[in-house]
Amino acid sequence: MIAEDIFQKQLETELVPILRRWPLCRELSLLKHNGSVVILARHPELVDHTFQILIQYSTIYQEPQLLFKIWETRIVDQVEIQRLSFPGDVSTLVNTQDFTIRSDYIHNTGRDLWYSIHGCDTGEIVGYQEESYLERWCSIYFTIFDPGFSNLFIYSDHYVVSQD
Amino acid sequence: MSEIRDLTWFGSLNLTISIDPELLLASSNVPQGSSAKLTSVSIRVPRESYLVLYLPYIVGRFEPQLRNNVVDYYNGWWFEMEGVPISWNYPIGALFDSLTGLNPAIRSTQFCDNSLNVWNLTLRHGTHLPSSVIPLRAGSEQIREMWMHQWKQACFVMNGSSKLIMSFSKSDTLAFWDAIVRRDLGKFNLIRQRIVPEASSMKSLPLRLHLSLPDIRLVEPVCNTYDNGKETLLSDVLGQEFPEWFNISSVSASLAKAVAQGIDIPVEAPVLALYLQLASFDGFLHVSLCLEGQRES
Repeated sequence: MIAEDIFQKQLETELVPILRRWPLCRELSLLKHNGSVVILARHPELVDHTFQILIQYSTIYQEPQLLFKIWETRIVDQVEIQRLSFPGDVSTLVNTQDFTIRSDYIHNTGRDLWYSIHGCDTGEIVGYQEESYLERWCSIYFTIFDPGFSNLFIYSDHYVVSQD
Repeated sequence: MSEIRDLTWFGSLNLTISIDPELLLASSNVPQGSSAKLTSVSIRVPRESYLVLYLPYIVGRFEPQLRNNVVDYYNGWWFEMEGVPISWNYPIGALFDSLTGLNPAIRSTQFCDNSLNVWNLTLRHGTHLPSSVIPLRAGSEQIREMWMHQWKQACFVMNGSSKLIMSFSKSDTLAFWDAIVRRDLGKFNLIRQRIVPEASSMKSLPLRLHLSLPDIRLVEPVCNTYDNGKETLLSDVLGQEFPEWFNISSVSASLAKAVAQGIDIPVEAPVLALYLQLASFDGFLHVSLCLEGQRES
């Protein structure tokens, strides 16, 4: 569990810098007015698939909330079009592991459909220590999109410092 | 209190569902022996239910005159009100209160004894659903799972953990849902009281605020049951979330009304009391905000 003000601070100062270093990240926007981050990221294997990832604060669970959509690029009549993909079995496109992923989240203001990762056990999974909460959180949950996400931490300054 | 819970459980709405004319056969092609072309279906439904649970019945009524064979009575269908797609994942009553924005006081004077208050909706079908509608790939089972997911959230908010409900046996879970489908309030309350803690140990309250103007949106505020030892009032929450409409420090009247279960509720009431009496069958207290004067003009 993380308080909303700590979430906002860690989002901006810790999580955004990490995600900017993620090789699959194509675009990142920090939306300060509602304290969320939107990322466009390549699929690690399928060049015609893109993840749109939204990180926001869940007031219900008082945890980070991870939402995503999958965009598929197709060429129709020599024109590139992108369309949303909601496959019946999402495990064909993401690394679901033991996470509960549901395609039933309607965004409170955008009124659009997202995949959501069930967040009630987040504290147990991430560990309750407040320091670097979002860093630990992303190191676990972003393996849904990139099984090699943890490589980001191998050469990070933070890692080197913590080893001293 | 029990009487109020009974009344909310048995509250109902009259719906008239028209079908998208594009889905119908041309008049000359209606099978022989069919009665006159059916263009709408009227049905009374509980406020405490999901609209899509009635899809098989409604689609079935239109089926003889549909242009295409029905391959699925859930997937691909959705409801609209005045061209606005309706998200089915909230109680019917909460959707009605927020989308129609009806002020209950005006409603009661507007509709007299010999007329009915009817919600007019349109049934549509297509391969691409509107973005605000959750695809129903697994029919009634998916509806049950979605509803159970709401209860897990509500349980977490009230108890600080979802473990209580996660430890339910499969038969408990099915009996809980069965009580909704069969409208068995006694059975529903027996299972509900295992999730809802005593008022004194209720951590926070599962509250959802619905708005339809200026845009349709949902607000899920953190609502602690007590604040500095005092019960949290609805006006505290509304004043914090919507200071432009509910100015609690000012003597001027609020610009909006709060409506739950079709009732104009006093904003100075404690949220806990409102929750215990008016919470919905999905574990949340749904409050719709209706702008004063919205429908009077």
